[in-house]
Amino acid sequence: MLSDDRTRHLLRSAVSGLTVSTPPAEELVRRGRQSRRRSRAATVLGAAAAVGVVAVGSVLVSDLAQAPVGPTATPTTMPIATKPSTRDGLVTPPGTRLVGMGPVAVAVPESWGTNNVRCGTPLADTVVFEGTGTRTCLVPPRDVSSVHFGRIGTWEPRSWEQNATTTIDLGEVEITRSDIGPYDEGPGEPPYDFAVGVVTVPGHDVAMWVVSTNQELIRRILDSVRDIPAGYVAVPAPSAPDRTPSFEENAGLDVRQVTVYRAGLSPGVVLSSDPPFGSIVPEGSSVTRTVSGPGEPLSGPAGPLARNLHAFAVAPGPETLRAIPFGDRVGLGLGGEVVKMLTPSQLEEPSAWVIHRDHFAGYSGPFSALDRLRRDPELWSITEGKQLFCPWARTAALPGYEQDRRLTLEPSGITTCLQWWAVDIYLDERDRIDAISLILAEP
Amino acid sequence: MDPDADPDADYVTYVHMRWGPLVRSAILLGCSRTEAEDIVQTTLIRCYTGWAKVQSAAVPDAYVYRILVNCLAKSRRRRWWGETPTERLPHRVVEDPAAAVTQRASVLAALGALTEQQRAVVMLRYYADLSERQVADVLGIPAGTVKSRLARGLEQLSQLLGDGDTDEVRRESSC
Repeated sequence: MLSDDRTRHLLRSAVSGLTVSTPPAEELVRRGRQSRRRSRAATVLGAAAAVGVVAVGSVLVSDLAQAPVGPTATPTTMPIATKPSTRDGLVTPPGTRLVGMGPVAVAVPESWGTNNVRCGTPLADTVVFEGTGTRTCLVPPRDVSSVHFGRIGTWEPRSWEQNATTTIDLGEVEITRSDIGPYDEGPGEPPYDFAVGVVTVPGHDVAMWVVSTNQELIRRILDSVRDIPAGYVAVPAPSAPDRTPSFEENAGLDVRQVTVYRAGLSPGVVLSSDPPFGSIVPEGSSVTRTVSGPGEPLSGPAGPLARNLHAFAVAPGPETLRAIPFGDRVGLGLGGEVVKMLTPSQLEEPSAWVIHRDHFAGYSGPFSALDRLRRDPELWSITEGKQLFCPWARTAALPGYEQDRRLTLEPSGITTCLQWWAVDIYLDERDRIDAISLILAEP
Repeated sequence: MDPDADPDADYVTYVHMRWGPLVRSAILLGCSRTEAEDIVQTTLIRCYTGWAKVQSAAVPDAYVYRILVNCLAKSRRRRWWGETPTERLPHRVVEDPAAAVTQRASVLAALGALTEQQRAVVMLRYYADLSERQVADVLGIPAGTVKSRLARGLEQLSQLLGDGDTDEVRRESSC
């Protein structure tokens, strides 16, 4: 066994005779100053020129966009880019964009969306800032990958805690990175074959995790972790559905807040951001944040109509029906299809509302809009021309009723799209009900 | 404070003093000389932008080695991305240390047979002369892990540099 002294001697003698070039001190100072100037100049660059193109050090991430999906997929070709320049420190990763939270960012394929989820489950490749918990609310497609950002200990999968972690110094910030391991949301969850890799930034309470069946993609995204260059910030996202990013988290951005009415949502919930959550922008950039505000009364007859419809649903009968202004004939629809036409008197009988279909949107029939209204009578949200929840399930207007006003009643106390339904009410020019249609969200 | 004093004087002095040892350290970590100089340049530029941190560090050399090790790790990852994958890991055959003509070649070949982690702790402990605690801080690993990696590394070096095993020595691609 080598002694300490002997080892020292061997190592030193191994390299002592090597000729080393003269230290390029002046050149290092010049480039060091350039690096500083770049950081400062970055604050005045236009956002379009700056988003996601500057990195400390250079990382070849262009192949992220083409990374294969699936556990058995093996990269057959990998772009051989020009040698990364460790001198310039600047790189424009083709086909990717930077997304981040707090002091760190990763490169993801440019085609990935933001918060492209239903019920918390990514249904297309996406970056997720929505702190809505479980990823497996719905059955996740196997070929979908996602990068999630949140606070440490809140939503990241439990399984990563069993994986070994490494501490990495990014210069301005220290991170921990886990080995890639099986994705597991805990006992009781079905056995998915997704893998996960987690990065945390303990000093900033930031967690980022990548979920995919493609471990190579996970590794590449984890490899692209870097600190956000000086002069840039990540557009802050809410770390929980009911949490507005704090003033401190605005991180030197010029935040303009737009308040919109969202029935069923508490005021102050951040709905969206432009640029999107996680974008890397120069400090001082303008960001428009859309936040839910207090409810606004609907104009016209919508309020009384909804109240009267509510009264009829709870206690169907001639008295309550009379208060509802129906047209001469009322179309009864399911999704985007008119199934039958009824007279107002026929509507008095709840059984007339029933549409006998074996299946619709993944649910078993029969179906009745009145039953839905009766089941959740206190939970409606009423909007006109839009849908508050599960917007992907919105259908086109019923054929023949495109010119009508379209009111949408939805339960506002739901937490998943599996619980969601909507009843669309079509009003003619005299504010009489022309048609009623039940909509459900297909899982 | 002298307004005419060069604000970069300390940095320049440090570069002149530490350039050679840092390049040689990178070579001991598996880089070619050219690669080692590139990595050390990157390291020292990062040191320039955060010079105040280097100066205020309890052990400035340890701080700089930490940056060096991270730059090297990043560089290895980047290069991996730039390579064309093959079905088998791209092992590179290194000359037999016992048959090497010079002691330097033998030592470098033996170091090349260690894992990257073992090589890093051996270099930091016995070439950079950092304490085990400092090595642990530089690499972000527990002190116990430093001890165990040192023990295994030295054991392997002993075998490779001794009179015994002359089997082919392989190592994975360098930085």
